[in-house]
Amino acid sequence: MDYQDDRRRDTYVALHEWHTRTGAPLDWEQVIFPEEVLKWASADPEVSLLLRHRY
Amino acid sequence: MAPTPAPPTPKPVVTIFGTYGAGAKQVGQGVAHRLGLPYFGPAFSSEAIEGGPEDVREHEAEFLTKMMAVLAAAFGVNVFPHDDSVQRHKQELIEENLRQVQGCAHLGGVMVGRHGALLLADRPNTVHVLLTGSVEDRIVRAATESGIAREHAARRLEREDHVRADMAIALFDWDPRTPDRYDLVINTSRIPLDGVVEAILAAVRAVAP
Repeated sequence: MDYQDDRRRDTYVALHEWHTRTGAPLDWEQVIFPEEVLKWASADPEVSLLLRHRY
Repeated sequence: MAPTPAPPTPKPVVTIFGTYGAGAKQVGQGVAHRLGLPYFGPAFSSEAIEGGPEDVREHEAEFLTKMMAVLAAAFGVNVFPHDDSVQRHKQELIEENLRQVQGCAHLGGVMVGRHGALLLADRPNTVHVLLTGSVEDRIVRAATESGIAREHAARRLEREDHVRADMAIALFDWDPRTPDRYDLVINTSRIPLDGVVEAILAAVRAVAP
């Protein structure tokens, strides 16, 4: 596993946070095409902070 | 004293890990049909999520959400910093996967994904298969089978192989793309799918007790 792949790391974190905060179910297409969730994550101050500071 | 009867021979099992678009579904269904045994598709798929029964979609959504927490942790981000939820999720996912694999092992059949080559490594009467192929061929096959645009399939391919491998590594510390646990590694760009089915059936006959 390439642990230096920031996009994959951010995708996994953002998808989990998106589900937790919105309550909407995740589906496989979101994992493969996470653009909308990543956009949401970057616009949410708390998630942005999580992505920047938890590692 | 009467001799102890030999234990019954377990039914054949074929495990398949296929890179995206390599034809795992068609090959798996073809082998299952020829063996007269059940076919177990991947634990989750776009098709099942888009069109499956509501309870299946809910189960897959729950699985994916837990999996994202486990994957984030593998990349160094604990989304539950104040408790052991990530460890619990990981254990639940491993146990659920084991239940599914044991179910297949009990019935016999063809199983795509679910880390079968690792978890059933020592099961008798079992053949482990890795399917791969050229990027271009896999894109074309996936687009045709799924009824999606070539560009859509190309973008899926770019990420899906990584994500499925990440899941196996995070749960079982095993990269399913490495060939060492497989009995057959077949390039479906070189061997037509009906030939792949025949090759797997020959391997099943060869390992039969």
